[in-house]
Parts: sequence; structure tokens; C-alpha cells
Amino acid sequence: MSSTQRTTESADSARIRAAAQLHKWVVAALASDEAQWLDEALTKADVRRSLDIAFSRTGRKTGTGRLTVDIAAQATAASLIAGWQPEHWDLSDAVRILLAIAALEHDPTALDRLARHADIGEQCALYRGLVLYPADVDVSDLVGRGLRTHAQPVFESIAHYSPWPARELDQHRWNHLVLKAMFMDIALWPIQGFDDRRNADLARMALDFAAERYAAARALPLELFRCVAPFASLSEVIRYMPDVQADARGRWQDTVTTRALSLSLWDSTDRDLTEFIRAHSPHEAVIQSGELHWGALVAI
Amino acid sequence: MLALRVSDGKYATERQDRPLCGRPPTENDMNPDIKDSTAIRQMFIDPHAHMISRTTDDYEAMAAAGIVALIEPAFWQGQPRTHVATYEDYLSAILGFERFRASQFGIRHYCTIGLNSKEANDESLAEAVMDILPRFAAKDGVVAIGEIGYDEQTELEDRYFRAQIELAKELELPVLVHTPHRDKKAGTTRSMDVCEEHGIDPRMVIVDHNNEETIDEVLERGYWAAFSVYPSTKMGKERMVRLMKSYGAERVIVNSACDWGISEPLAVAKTAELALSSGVPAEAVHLSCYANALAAYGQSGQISDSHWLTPMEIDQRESFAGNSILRGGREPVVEHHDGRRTPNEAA
Repeated sequence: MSSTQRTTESADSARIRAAAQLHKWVVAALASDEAQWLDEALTKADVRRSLDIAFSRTGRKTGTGRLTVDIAAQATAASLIAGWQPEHWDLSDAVRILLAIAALEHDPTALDRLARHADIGEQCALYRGLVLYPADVDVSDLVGRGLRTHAQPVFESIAHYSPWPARELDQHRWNHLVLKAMFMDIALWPIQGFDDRRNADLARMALDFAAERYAAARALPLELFRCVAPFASLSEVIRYMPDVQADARGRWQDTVTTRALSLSLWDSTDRDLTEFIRAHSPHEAVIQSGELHWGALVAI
Repeated sequence: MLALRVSDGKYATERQDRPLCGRPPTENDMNPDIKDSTAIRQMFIDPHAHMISRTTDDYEAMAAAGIVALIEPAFWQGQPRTHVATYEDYLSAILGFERFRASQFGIRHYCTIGLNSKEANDESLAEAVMDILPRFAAKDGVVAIGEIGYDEQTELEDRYFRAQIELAKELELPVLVHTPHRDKKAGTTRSMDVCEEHGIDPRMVIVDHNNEETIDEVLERGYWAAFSVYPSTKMGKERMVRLMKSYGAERVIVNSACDWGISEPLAVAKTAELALSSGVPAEAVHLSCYANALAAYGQSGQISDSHWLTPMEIDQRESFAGNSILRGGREPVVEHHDGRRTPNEAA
């Protein structure tokens, strides 16, 4: 047995344990009638009409609430699959993902079949489930369709709060995911593994995007400079910087914009740019302490 | 707004001639009616609107006129489909992207699912559509089976009308009945006879496209009576207001049925305006242009005024309305309304 095979098998066994754990959380959250409905639906996942109706009807059985995943359960999730964040799933997502996994046991093309008739909420569920599908299921076309969507929630269901994109996408598709997120004014900070997957090509694309928006006198996404920081010089960045208020000594006022600038450019490798940020940013202490981060841009 | 503004400021000295952009809307941009806290904007529901055939200008105007929710019945598209696959994509579109399109204007979009009477006459298509309907009819936001019923009152139309009434019963959904444009009075009577043969409660059935000739019987037999205010063919605003005056508003529902034909997406709001200025009591206008549709289709459990009155309850993944600054801060498209767009906005 090759080491690649062993890695795949252990990843699949982690996914199987994760799905079993998800089933426990779901059953605990459902009323007993609905839990019974789900278990019947799971056993009939090989019957097409039954699966299709169960998948569609899920919302009427679960309502629209979140899946309840407390702090301890979040830790369990992360220990099963690094980066798994089911606390960002709805209960209906979780049920649909369980149905999809059950269907995959009988039909390796089940995801494409379910996606073909899926509405936006159902598509989101299918994409959130990417972390839990067996490695031998080919999701490339499915993900490609999802990333070409105009529907913001569908895009976010792939891009946000999931270890899957950073782990699985090649650089070309990754860069286009990031660029499309900015193009659609979708936040970058919930994209896992973002900083580690920055690259020179993405920085070039981001600066070109800034130039286009600048030429059109349109607003730039606040997180754009994150893509650029490790690769660009002060002179490349400064022309696209926003107008911010500063005190007599040149210190920026503390605003959401300056917080974003500080966070974006703090780890620049360009000496002039680093000096520039250190000279103007009032945020050194809160960045060093960890108090200021993207998730708390507005909150602190 | 979580975005940087490129301006003629300190760090953008090279481009001082650039105009300011991305200015967040201010109070002055708003419609005086909205700005004035004493003016309560009237809310309307358009429970019959084929938005797939309409433009974003229509959505913008409908939102400005007070439409908070609309229902898109599955119908034909002006010419018959020849493959079940195009029917599937149509149903997916009215359940999916159309709902999303509406949400960009702050309008909640629901739909009804069904095989329409015209295409019921293509037997092989109809059989294939009947096979896929259960897959679509139970999805979130589906408020009825419809619009179904008769066109030429053929045997095939009758067969699939009945089969879909049974599907509605199985899935516990209301039924939206399209009454025929030709031989309307007899066709309407027959539609109700068939409903009763299948034992569906009249309160679960909305009979649509009524006129002066059908309203008596439909109301008398306990059904919801809907009226499509569609210029020149079905019902006009003035006639509708006369009906509201004579019959009151109990179980009366006004809709636009706007579609790919020459039709009026603001028909509900305009009818309401004419009714109020003609002395129809405000409560009757509220019932016929909002509350009755909510009550009738609310029996599906899928449409509730909490969806637009307390937007936090909206499934935020499907709406721009739930966007917070932390989630990415897109500017809402409908933020300020004076009924016109500047050339800059249009660009």
C-alpha cells in the first residue's frame, strides 16, 4: 500500500467519523418526529423519488435556524477535520449534507444529480458539505459552477468558513476565487488559509483590479491590500490608498478604514511600506496583542 | 460601507481631478415619504407576477411603490416548451435566481410550481413534467401548486389538473387555479366542480383571473377570488375599483399577472391608489392588496410577514438585506428612491 493510499484512507475515515458526529448533533436538534423522518429518508437514499422529495422538503422539517454547535462541539469538529466549522451551518444544511452523503454511498454521481435541481439554499448546503464527501467523488465541475455563480450566498458557501478551498484548489482557481470575491464585494477574512496562499500572481491581479476600479473612480474593497502586502512596494500601493484623517504628527485616526489598512499592510516585506505603516498606523499595540483582527474590525 | 473611497485626498495626489465616488446615500437622497417619519408607507403584495420576464427597472419601481413580497406562478413563457429539460431549468430559475434577483431590491420572492394548462396538451412533455414536479413542489418558498386548470378545456388539461390537485393534497399545499380566457364562466364553474370532486377545501384554492361574470359564484362557493389587473384583456383598474366597492374585500385578491405581454408591474399599487382616492375604505384596500394574499398562501407555511417586517428572521444567505458590514458590506441596490436614476447610476 502506498503512502498516498494510506493518507487518503485515513482522511476518509476521519470524514466518516465526522459525518457520524454530525448525525448525532442533528438528531439531538430535531424533534422526535423529524428525527424519525430523517432516519427513514436516510435509509431510502437509494430511491430516487424518495431522496429528491426528502432533500427538497428538508426546510419544512427543520425550519431556518442554525445548527447548534457549542464551544466543546466546535473543538470536536476541528479535531476531526482541521478547519471544519459546522457552527456556520444551518440545521437544514446539515440534514441535506447527511442525505447527500447517504446518496453517494449508492451513486457516485448523486451530488451532480441533486445540484441539478437545487435551489439556492440547497446549493449552499451541497457546497458546505464539501469537507465531508469522500475523496474519490469528483466535485470539480460542481465547484466550478458554484464559483461562476452570481448568487453571493452560493459563492460564500464555498469560500467562507471552510478549509476546503485552500486545501484543494489549484493556484489558478484559488486566485480567481479571491478576485471574484473582491469583484462581488464579498469579505475575504472568512476565507480560511488566505494569508498562506497569497502569491505574486494574485498580487499582480489585485493591483490590476485596483487600477481598473481607480480608473472608473469606483470604491476598492478594504481587504484588497492583503493580497498585495507581501509583494508590492510603497509606490505601487500608495496611489490607491484612501483619504484618511491624521493628527498633526501624521497618525491616522482610528476608523474601520485605517484598521483595515493597518491589518492589510502590517506584514509587508517592503521596507518603505513597513516604515510607512509603522509611522502612520495607531494600531500597533492592538495588532500585537491580537485584539484587532479581521473578525473584530468593527467590534473592538 | 466596507470599502475604500478613492478621492482627491492626501494619498491620491496623482488623481486630484478624479470625481468623488462611492458616496454613501444621505438623508437627502431619500424619497420624502420615506424620510418623513410621520408618513407610513403602504405595503403591498403582488401575488401573481411573472418576474422572469421583467427587468430590474420593474423590480426597482415595484419596491419604490411599496411591494414587499411577490409570488411568481409557474406558467408557460409565451410559446410552448418542447423538452422537459427546459421546463426543469425554468422551475429552477423561478425558485433560484429569480428569488435572488428580487432580494437585491428588498422584495421577498415566492413561487408556485405546476404544469400549466397550455403545455398540458403536449402529452409526452406533460408526463415528463409530472414526473419531476414532486422534486420541486416541496422546496422552500413554494406557496402553492399552480397555476393549473383549463385553457381549451381538453381531456389532457383535465387529466393533469386533477393529478396536480392530488399532488397538492399530498404535499399539503394550496392550489392556484388559472381560469380560461375563453369560455371563462363555464370553465371557472368546471374548475371549482373538479376541486370539489377531489375533496380539496375551497379555502385552500385561489381562483384567478376573475371578472364581473365569475365573481359571484367564486365567492359564494367559498373560494379566494383573485383578479389580474392586466390592461385591455383581463381586468382594468377602474373596473376593479367598482368591484371592490360592490363586493367589499373579503377573500378578494388583486394582482398584476405581469409577464412577457403588455402588462403593468405596478398594477397592485396603482389599483390601491385609485381605490383609496375613489373612497374605498383603507381596510378593504389593505385586505385585497396585501393581507388576503398573505392569508391564502400563508396556508403553505412558507410565507409570513415576519420575512419582511423583522428581516433578522430572513434566511440571510438568500438576501442582501442581511448583509452586515462584517460580511462584506455591499451597498444595497435599493437605498434611495426618487423614481429616477441619474445617468451615473444607470451607468
